[in-house]
Parts: sequence; C-alpha cells; structure tokens
Amino acid sequence: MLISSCPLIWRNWDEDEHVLYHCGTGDTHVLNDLAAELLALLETESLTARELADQSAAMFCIEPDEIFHQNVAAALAEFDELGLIEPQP
Amino acid sequence: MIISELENEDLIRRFRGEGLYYRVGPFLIRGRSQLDNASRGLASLYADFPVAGPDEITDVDYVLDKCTFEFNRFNLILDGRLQYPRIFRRLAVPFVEWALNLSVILGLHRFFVLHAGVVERGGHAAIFPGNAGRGKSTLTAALVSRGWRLLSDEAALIDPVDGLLHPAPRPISLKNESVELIRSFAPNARMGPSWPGTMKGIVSHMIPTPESVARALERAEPAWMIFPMYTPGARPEMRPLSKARALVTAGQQAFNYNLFGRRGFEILGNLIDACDCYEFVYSDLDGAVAAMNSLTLTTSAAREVSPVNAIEPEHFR
Amino acid sequence: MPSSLSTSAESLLKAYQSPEAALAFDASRWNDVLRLAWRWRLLGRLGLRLEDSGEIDRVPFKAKARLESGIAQAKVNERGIRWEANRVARALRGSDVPVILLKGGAYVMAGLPAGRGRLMSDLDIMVPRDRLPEVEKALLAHGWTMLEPDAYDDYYYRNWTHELPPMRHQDRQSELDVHHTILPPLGKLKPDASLLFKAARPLEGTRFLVLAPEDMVLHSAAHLFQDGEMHAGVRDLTDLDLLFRHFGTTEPGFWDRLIPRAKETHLTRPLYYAIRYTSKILETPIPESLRTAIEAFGPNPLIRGLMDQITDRALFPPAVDTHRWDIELANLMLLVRGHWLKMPLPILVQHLSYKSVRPILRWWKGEKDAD
Repeated sequence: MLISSCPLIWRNWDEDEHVLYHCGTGDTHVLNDLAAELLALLETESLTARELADQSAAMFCIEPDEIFHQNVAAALAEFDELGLIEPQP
Repeated sequence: MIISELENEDLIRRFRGEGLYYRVGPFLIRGRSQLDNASRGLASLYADFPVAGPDEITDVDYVLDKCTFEFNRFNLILDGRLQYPRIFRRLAVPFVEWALNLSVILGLHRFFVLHAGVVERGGHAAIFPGNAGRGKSTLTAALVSRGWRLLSDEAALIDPVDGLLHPAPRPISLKNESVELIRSFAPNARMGPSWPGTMKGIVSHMIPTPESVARALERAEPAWMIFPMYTPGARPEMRPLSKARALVTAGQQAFNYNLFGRRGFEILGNLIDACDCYEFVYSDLDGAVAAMNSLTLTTSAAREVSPVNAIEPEHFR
Repeated sequence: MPSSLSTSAESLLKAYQSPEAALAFDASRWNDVLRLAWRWRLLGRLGLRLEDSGEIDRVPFKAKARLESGIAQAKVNERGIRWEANRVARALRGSDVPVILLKGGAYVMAGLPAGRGRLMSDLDIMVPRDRLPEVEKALLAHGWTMLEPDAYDDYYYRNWTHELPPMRHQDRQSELDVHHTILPPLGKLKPDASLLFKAARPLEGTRFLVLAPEDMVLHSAAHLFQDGEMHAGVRDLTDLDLLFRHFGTTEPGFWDRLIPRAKETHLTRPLYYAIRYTSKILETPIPESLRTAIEAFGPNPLIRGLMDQITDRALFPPAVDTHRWDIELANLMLLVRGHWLKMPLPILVQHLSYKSVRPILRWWKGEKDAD
C-alpha cells in the first residue's frame, strides 16, 4: 500500500551503500542494500508491507521470518517519516 | 600591474577614494578604507595580486568606515550592509579577511562551493573538506610551503559545467598554535603580522606563494578528496573511504548544495566519481607532507591530465 | 537620499517593467541594481523577467550568474513550500476539514505567476474556526510544536488574533501559521471568514483550496497596507501587480467584482492603496473605470499625501543598513539556514534497516570558525 512520493535519484559505486536524492525534500540519504531494495521496489509499484517483505527476501535469498518482517516494518516507518513514501488508500 | 607596484600615495589615495580594485582568482574585489594602517596591512598581504579597475561588475565590495564617536573603532560595511559594527581598528585586517570569506561563501553562485582547502600538484588537485578544528588550513599551509600550488584554504569552487576547480588563492588564515607550527615548519614562508585578541585567539596569515597567485586563472582537475583528521601521536595514514560515505561527508560542507537542487547531487556525485577518497590521519606536518607527496592516482589513472585550463577575466561589453 | 540610490531604484523598476532596459546598464549601474534587487528580494523575479523576455543571455555574465542564483533560490524556496503543503496534507489525511492555502503557498501551488521567483519562509493556511482544535491536534501529532508555550501568549494568540500561535516543525524547522480569518478580530476591519470559504476554489490534484481571485488580491492588499502603513516592500507590490495582471486577463468579470467584494469584506481602503500604488509605481494596467470608481474609497488628501511619502520611504532604503549585523544576518539566513535550504544529508546506515541523522546547518553565526 505504499509508494514513493517524489522522484528519487540514485547513485552507487559498486559497494553496498547507495546514495539517494529525494526531489521533494532535497534530502540526500545513504542506504544499505536492503533499504535500497525496499525503496526501489516501491518506486515501481504500490505494495503492502507483507508483499514487500516477501519480494525483498526472495531477492536476497533469505527466509522472511518474523524478525525480518519487523525490520521491514521499521524501515517503512522511517521511510514514511522521512517523506520517502506515502500510504495509498 | 600588481599591488606591490603601486606607489604608497597612490595606494592610499585609491583606498580612500574610489577604491582599490584587485582580483582574487575569478573575483573582482573593491576595497575602500579610511584607515591607512589597515590599507597598508591589506596591501602587504595582497602584494602579488593584480590591480584591476571598475569596468567590470564587482563581486565583493567592502568599506572600512571610521566610527563617528569612538576613535579606536570602525565599521565594516560589506556589499552595502553594515556587517561588523564597532570593531577595534587594530583588528581591521583579520576582519576584512573574514568578510571576504563570508562574501565568497554566501554570495558567489557561479560555483558549487565546498568548505574545503584545495591544493594542486602535477595537474591534480587535492580537496580537504572540513569543519573547524580539523586542521585543514594548517595542512594546506604546510603543503603550499612545500611546493604544492594553493587554490584556496577555504572554498573549493567547482565549475557547475565541467567540474573543474577554480582557484581563488588568498592569505591562509591560521589560528593560535598553528601560527607557530607553520612558522617553524616553514621559516621561509612569508607571514603577515599576528593579531592577538580576536574572538578566535591569535590570528595570522600565510601569504600565498607568488606562483599560486600568478596561476590564479589556471583551473585544476580534482583527483583526491581527503578528509583530514589531525590526531596527536598517530602515524600518518590514508584510509580509503567508501564513495557513498565521502559523498555525504563532503556534502555536509557544501554550502550551496540546495541552490543547485537535483543538479547539486549530480555535481557532487561527479566530483566523487573523479576522486580517490580517503580519511587522512596525521599528527606531524613532515609526515603529512610525505604522505601527500606519495599519493598516487587510482580512480583517475586512466584519464589523461587535461591541458592548462586558463580562463579569461570577464570583459565588460 | 543619495541620488545614485534613487536612480538605481528607478533603473531596477524600469528593468522589471521593460527588461530590455537592462541591456543599457554599465558595470556600476549593475552593481547598484543587483544589490538593490537582492535587498528587496526581487533578484529572482527580475531574473525571471529577463529570462522570459529572452534578454538574460545578453546581460553580462556576472549579472546573469547573480540573477540565476536569485532564480535558483526562489526555486529552492518553492520546493520547500510544496513539501510543507505535502506534509500538512499528510498530517490531515482522513479529515475533511477544508484548508485554504494563503499567500505565497497559494501562488506556488496554484501555479500563478506571482508564485515564481518568490522567496517565502512560512506556509500560511486558513481553516474554519470551529475546526481549529482538530487541526491543531493533527499537526501536533505529526511533529509540529507551538512556538509560544507561555500560557499568556497562547491565550493572546487564540483569543485576540486570527491564528493559532505559530507552529514550527521540529525536524524541518519550518514555520506554519494556521489562521481562521485573515484580519485580526480586534481591528476595525472584520471580514467574515465564511464568505471566504464559500467562494474558495479547490486546487486540482490536492486536498487544498485557494481563495477566489478577488479575495486573493484583497488579502494581499490587506496584508500590505494594514493599519494605513506599507508594511513590506516592493516585492509585495510586485505580488499585487502580478495578481492583477494575471486575473485581469484570465478571469472573466474580475475587475467588476473587486469593489463589491471589497465592500462586502470591508477592505475598500487597502484596495484603494493597492490600485493606487501598483499603477503609480509599476504601471500595472488597471482599467480606467476601476481607477475612477475606487477614488470614492480613498482617504482625505492629507492622509493620502502622507501615505505617498511613507510609501516612498519604504521604497528607498537607506544607503547603509543600520540594523544590527546579527539581525541582518538573520535575513541572510533566510537564504542559507536549515529552514528551507537545509543541509540535505542525513546519514542512514544500519544493519537491516536504517536510521537517519539530520545535521542542521548551524555553522554561521557571524564568522564561522576558520581553522
């Protein structure tokens, strides 16, 4: 149910850290691989938290256990607070 | 013609009248002053700098204006604003230098600006972004006294179009212990007087080498982005820094980042692309200079060094 | 008043009205005009006038750079205002309270010419009085705090003025002013807010409304000519000029609705001044019939003469600023500090998630610490 709210510009140098510019706020963020993946998935389509967790777990070849879901939820809460994503009705 | 070639009377007449116009890198400065001692002090710090005229738009305009009622104080008016009121006259020179810093940082939108020292050798430039207390001015001064060319001790001026660095060499301001440190490290370096009793303690200036000033229109390729970390007792060490980290850390010193919006992100990203990025731990200047001199290029090794990038001062149409 | 300053003020206004006049400026004139434009917060607007007319590439390179920086500053501001509006909408999600955007926020979000090239620091909104508690609660829950925690000041704001105490967002440090009407209830002039809401127009694609065109103009005039004084400067006059020009050409019946609406909302005197000074100083093309009709609502000649003088003084600032430098610096900070133009680099790295750190630009307090 969540989608990113304004254009995002990415940059990466073959390391596991990604930098991101958010056009809405002018903020620049550094994200690790998982956070970057979550956000990138939301750039293309609106997903629920559960769908997001399942898809990203699959990409990293890990089992989406309860801890993983919690971490994803925490990440989403932060994304929301930073204005990177918005709930869609 | 450079400032030291002006007759003393001519110098004072200009300061007291229409202004002394001089160039610092790409900038045209206009200085007016009713304080002759301060005028002479400034002229000696800027002895090698080219004299100019009012035929071009001025970038920085300062006036040292005597206070009406307080004999030992003056007002510093910067670009028409009363910037520093009621300053002790004996502190005029350091205050003019601070005013210039302010103007460069705030007023100059032709460039993407990082609060950083910049030096160059062999066609490649090293950028030292940093807050106060990290030692970038001291490091910059030390390197300049050992053959590196000074572009700036304060502001890396990045051309938004091609990413090259514009020089704006000026007297390097040093504080407190750094003053003595540099005096003993570089006994042959030309230093201005020391000014005790400023709010930052003792302030003095290292005069840029004539070569640095003479090549003030020659731009440089960025090659190294180095975050200095003065650490007493530590052995000099260049620790490679991830580019993502370098971007955000340098970005914290990017004063007009916001002004460029999304383009600012590109410009900063391109700059990081072009540079080898390090954290530089050092404790003594000899070790630091040696470590800098043995720097090699990895990122830009494949690139050729561009020919000298001279720029023409703007001629008014 | 130094003659060079008055001639540069004339030059600036001339260039604003007819951009090609700027091509005749020499270096000295440019120095004065650019500096004045900066003081009057008109750099962006002047820059856009030259850009729109195609002249900007023909001015000297340094002048162009300065003008473009003015334009860039305004764009950053605009981004900030849009984001604030976005965040207000986020905070009020799920509520049906009507929210009218006012002033700069409205100009920007509605895509009006008056929103271009403009520097603004706060977002102003208006909500119905009986919905204030609900709005306040929602905003407080989303990171805004009141700026006047003192009980008396709080009481004062709520009961004697037309707004909640100013609110500031704790992360973004941006200011939000929540009004329920547009003039203080204690003043002589008491426009009925429900009239404004009835005529307000929805802003497509958002949950916001904007004032009807004539109300927007009257509000701007009321703000500028409050209490018989010209509160702000030429920049606000150019707002009015741009609003008049835009609505005059795009809004059928606009000119005819102004006086009746001004009468309804008790804003005839501000309208009088707005028409008088925009046509006098900026040559705003206001129809002759309106200029004649509004005369009936002007002050007596003595007051009018006084007002002319006050306005003149407001337009010709002293050669040297006599404000304390830290107040002046506060104005500079409009351009630099972490309000709209914040340092945009939080660092977020963690194990499986991330947390953010927002450094706020606070290096500048006069002189920064040189090494």
